Amino acid sequence: MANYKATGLILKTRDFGESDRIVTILDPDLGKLEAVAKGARRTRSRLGGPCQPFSHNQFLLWQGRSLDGIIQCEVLDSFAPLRDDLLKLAAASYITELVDEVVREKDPSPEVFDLTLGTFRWLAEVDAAPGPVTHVLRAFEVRLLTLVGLGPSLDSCATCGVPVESWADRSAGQAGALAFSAAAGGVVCPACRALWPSPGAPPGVVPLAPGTLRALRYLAGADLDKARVLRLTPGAAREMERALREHIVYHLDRRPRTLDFLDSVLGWCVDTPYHVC
Amino acid sequence: MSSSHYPEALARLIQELTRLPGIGPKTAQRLAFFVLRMEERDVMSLAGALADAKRKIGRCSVCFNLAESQPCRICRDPGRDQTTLCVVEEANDLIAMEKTRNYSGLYHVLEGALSPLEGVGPEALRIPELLKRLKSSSFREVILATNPTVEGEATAMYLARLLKPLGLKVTRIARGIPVGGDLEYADEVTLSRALEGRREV
Repeated sequence: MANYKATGLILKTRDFGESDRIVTILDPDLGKLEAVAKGARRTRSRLGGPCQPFSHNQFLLWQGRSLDGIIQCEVLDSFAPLRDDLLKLAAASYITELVDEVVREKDPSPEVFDLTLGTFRWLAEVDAAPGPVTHVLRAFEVRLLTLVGLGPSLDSCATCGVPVESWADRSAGQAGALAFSAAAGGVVCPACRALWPSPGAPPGVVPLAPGTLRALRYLAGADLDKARVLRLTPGAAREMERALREHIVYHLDRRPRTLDFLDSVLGWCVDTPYHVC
Repeated sequence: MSSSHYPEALARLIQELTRLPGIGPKTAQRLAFFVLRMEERDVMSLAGALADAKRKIGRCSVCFNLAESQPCRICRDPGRDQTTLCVVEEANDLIAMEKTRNYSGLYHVLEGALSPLEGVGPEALRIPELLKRLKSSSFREVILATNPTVEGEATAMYLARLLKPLGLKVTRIARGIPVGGDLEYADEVTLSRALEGRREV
């Protein structure tokens, strides 16, 4: 059968058989596809090095009956920095898990591809410290969710639909007046929030400072270049993380597998400023 | 190919053989017929070896290598260098290291590697046992000999971070061009690693 070419990012790999590896590739025009890299686990294989997670490669593939195979592979950018640092590795693993989860097979999305590639480039450049890395992750999460249609409602109250402008600033003085609810699907205005049964709020509700909401709205509409210049205070970053995490878990219906690893590496970095290898 | 064509005992043998990796129904049938033609003594010896291997071999309580005794032969050997510890992912990696005949220290088998994507965290590996071992023994160097894959590298980085405060020398095995390989056919990633790890001759 015919051979074909693909140019894409490797989202993940898994061992297959004695010495093969199955690679999940994200191509802007072909979408997500799986292919087997025969013999990639052998020391002398030419495919082993390039067929690693996060690598951006050109592939020549053969079409198989059930599974396609990789004939040749040329590295465009190996994104080695994402594998050479524990924090970046954890972050990149989280990114690929989310992409893998929201993109279906052979359903091309050039926008998601560009976002992932751009995020990898950005992540490769930033300092390997919790602040910069979580900034990248938050921008990526908001953009990804928005691109695939799972974006939280940030411009108007998720419950009553009243635009944010008409209530967000007014409630700025009241502590804890703004809130994010994954179940409601976004930010909730104080009026709707007051209707929640007391005491407390339904599970999955995260209080937001007005600045956090502004930052979220900015990221939702910004491309990565614009997202870079945003200044995130640690407080806003934490609130954003909680809100987006609730939102992601709500829509995925499970906790991303990579989160535990990411959290433990982040926890470490906070405890001790470190430089691994 | 229904199993009812075979006498019962033969059908059962074929069925059992198909459990082995890489053995399909046809291969299983061929092997089963071969077994029937073998001398009875040889067949008993094969059966005994299978049962013995399963019954007698466990994990060494010190290094988690496959072992017939506690602790394993390597851990017990006083002739081995007691100050160097080589950390590997699996017992077969240990055997590969042993085959070099170039290493005379001790080992620690992690029984896996960290895999953020698969959700395999440090708690799933023999890391607490490694730390305990390092704190109570006279090791001076730890060699991280995990695979040069993402999982292996992640494990090595994690361990490096964990072990540095113990004041040990922590080293990582070199990555580069395999002996007998060809530069032209080496991939870019391997080649740049080889260049990074070059040394003066």
